[in-house]
Amino acid sequence: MQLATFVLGEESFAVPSLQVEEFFKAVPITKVWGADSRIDGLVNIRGRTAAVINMRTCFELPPLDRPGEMMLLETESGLAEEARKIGLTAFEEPIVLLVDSVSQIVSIESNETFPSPAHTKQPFVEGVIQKQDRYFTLISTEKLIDEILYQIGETIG
Amino acid sequence: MIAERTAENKFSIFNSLITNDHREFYEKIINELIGISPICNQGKCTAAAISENATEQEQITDLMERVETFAVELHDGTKKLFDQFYLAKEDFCRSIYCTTAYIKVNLIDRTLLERTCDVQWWSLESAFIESLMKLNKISKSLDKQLYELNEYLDASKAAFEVPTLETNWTMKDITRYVDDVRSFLTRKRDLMFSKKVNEEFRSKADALAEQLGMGKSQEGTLNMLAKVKKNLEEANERITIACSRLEDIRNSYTIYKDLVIVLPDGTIVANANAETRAKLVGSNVNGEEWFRRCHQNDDTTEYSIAQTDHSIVEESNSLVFSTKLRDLNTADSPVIGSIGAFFDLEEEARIILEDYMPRMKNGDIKEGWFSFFTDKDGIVVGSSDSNLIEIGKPAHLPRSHRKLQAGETMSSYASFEGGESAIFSAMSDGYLDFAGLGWSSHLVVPTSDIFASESQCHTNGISPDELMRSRLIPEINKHTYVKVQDDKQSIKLISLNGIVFASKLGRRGVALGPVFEQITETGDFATSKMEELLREMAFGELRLNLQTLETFSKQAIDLIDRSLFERSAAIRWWATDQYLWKTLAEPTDENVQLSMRRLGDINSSYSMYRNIVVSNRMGRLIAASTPELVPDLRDVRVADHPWFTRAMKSKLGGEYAVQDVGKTELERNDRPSLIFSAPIRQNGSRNGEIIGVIGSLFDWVTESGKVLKTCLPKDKNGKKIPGCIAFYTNKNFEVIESSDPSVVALHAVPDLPNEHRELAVGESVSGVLHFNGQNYIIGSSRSKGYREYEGLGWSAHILRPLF
Repeated sequence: MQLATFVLGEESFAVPSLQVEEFFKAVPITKVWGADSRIDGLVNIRGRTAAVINMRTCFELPPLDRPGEMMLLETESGLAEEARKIGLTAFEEPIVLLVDSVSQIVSIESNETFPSPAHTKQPFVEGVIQKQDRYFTLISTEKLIDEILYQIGETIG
Repeated sequence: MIAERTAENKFSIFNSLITNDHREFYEKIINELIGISPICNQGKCTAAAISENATEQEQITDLMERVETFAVELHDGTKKLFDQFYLAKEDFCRSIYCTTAYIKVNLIDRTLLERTCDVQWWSLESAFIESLMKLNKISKSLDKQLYELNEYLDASKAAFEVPTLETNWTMKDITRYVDDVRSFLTRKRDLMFSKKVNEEFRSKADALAEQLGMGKSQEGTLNMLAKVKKNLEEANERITIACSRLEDIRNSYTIYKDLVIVLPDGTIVANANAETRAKLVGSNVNGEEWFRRCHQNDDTTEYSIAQTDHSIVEESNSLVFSTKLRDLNTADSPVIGSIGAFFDLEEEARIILEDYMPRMKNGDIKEGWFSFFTDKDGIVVGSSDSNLIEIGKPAHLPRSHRKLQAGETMSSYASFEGGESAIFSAMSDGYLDFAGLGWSSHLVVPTSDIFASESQCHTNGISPDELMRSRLIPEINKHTYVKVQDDKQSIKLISLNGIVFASKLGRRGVALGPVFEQITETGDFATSKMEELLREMAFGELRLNLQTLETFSKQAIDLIDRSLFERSAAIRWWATDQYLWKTLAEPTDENVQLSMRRLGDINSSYSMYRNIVVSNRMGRLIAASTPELVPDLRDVRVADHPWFTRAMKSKLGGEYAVQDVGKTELERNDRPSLIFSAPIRQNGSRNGEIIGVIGSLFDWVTESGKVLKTCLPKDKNGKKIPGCIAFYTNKNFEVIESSDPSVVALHAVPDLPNEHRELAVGESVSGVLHFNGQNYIIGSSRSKGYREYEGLGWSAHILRPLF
């Protein structure tokens, strides 16, 4: 499986690259009132409106002092055959992850994945990947989106 | 011309200024970027081969085109970057080397201003004026006496024509004696000024007198002979006094080769150099340029300056400062003579020109570096290498460097003595009320040294990124740095998108993988090379900034050393003043008043003394230049003050002592003072017993503050760069003056690295420093003294904040 890795502060994280539609430099965000604190607001990507999830806020890190980079996630309709084959899913609406910077695309074998450590409180952390002597925290975009939307659901409900 | 280059010059690999390192560098980047285009074409073909889906193909083609556009942009960016790199260096070198050239000519101007004050001050010396007036009187009375003597001699001869019983001498015998004496009568000048002629005359006169003494009624002639002899003796005495005072001056101010007192007709009456005196006194300088200029000058207080290398007084290259001496007691103060001071230009120029020059391990100035002065006609007047740049010959300078305006600077590339060089010139704009002589200072630097690659310098943990963000780096370079990082990011994102895109095509996308990998690699290579270049540029800026601070700190310590040299010269000269030793010998109210007035006169012609005091040898003050302070000082005993005890201990004539900056009872409100002192000796003679001490309280706070202000770094427009601090430390490394005591406090021992504390004499260092919670760059220089003023082991330090 290929992973797109990115950096938040000093740490490296990863999501399956097949779930990513595009990487780009951060664009201006329109604030949306009343949203979950992890949602910074909305951005316009070539005519499509996407909600921005600030990954720093998700890990309770202080805000970044520079613009950072964005990852537009695939939507349900855009998900490639290759992705469906290995069981990846996607959300219906466009979602953007705001990260410090995108690093690289790495290929991993299944024996390089480990379950997430017991002390992890973020439920969307799927596990830890060891690639040579580096560690990546693997994030499940499904769980991340579910959780945030669930929270919003709670607030509304 | 460097200034014009900025407008017309775009980077070209064929420009001879580009270093080989950079050519190689550029070639590598260009080769990589050229490789991008075929890769992209390959990518586009692959797209057609692997997909029949038009949207997919379009997406791939689009990505490839973005990459291509990028490669072109990177290519342009690289050129611009090199442009900036070279322009930044040129810019900085122009500023630093033009400043250095200016500092050199400014040092000369400052020295010359002091010299003009010297000569004007000496023109008021009573010993000279009295001597000249006396000599004038003697000369007039000799005219009459020699004429009369001639008559008497005729009479004497006649009286001896008939041999009498009283004498057996024949007429022939007496005639010989009379004629011997008579032969001198038309040589009044020689009689008065030539010791040799004078002695010859006296022996002839004595011989004649002996003969005449045997004759009857020769009293008239004998009397006349005695009168002439007495007059000549007195003339001799006056000359000796004038010579002795000139010697006092030369001993106190060692920067003069000789000083002469000259009559209005050009006859030298006295000089300071005892070795040449026999030859000089009595000879005439009427035809010499300096003398002519001095007498053309009609202004009563004006001085003249002339350059000479063939005076009978001094053959070497000298500057003659001269002014007329006047009888100030007579209504229209007639000119009674002039004083000429032969300033040792050669040595002064050598000191200044050899300074601020990089040296090789053996101590020689680095090859290809030259420093020289030209006068207003473009003739070399001082040279750091007189074998190549000959003194007295026109300098081989580009036209634009030969006609500068006052204070103007100029820089050009030119071939100089066979080497590709940059020439930096600055013309004098005088100093204070000294207009300068229209001289220019030129500094020649090999082009290769200006654009040499930067070796990493010691940055004390400042990262290149931090350095890049610092205030040292010009805005344009910062923008380029941001742009390069932005490009780097764009390339990365394009490649990542391509790779993800390819992976989504599954097996079909495999062919595209290597294309994007190659693009990533090339992009990374090009941008990291550019970052490397930018960092080199940042280090270059840092190095030049450090060099600038070293230059300024050196200027700060040099200016103070030179000023203190003048103080040490002045105090030695004042110590020989007759009013002072007379008062010490006989402290009557009248004498004390005269001394006070004299000290007051001295002090009021300078602005840098707080007070000048005279103490007797018991340490009791007897006179001061400022009468208002006398009540305050009445009970002060200076017997244990260092300035007093040190001066009392001096052995040789012409010594002085210094009391380092600190508090003194002689000042109110604990104001720090620097005190120079010299022993006053009996009868003002050089080896006489010490009968008192003169001390001058140098206005340290004001004067050092002024110099520090001059040496604070300024930006291109001459505006002070905020946050810079300049300060002096004494030999114990305590701060003795600071341009910003709120950051670098007085009396504190600042926490500076050891290499700044343990400087060798005359050494300069610079570096990056964390001080008082801030990052600074710092330049420090330690005093090397100036001529025989040894310095007090002080250092000057200049701090400039990085952020």
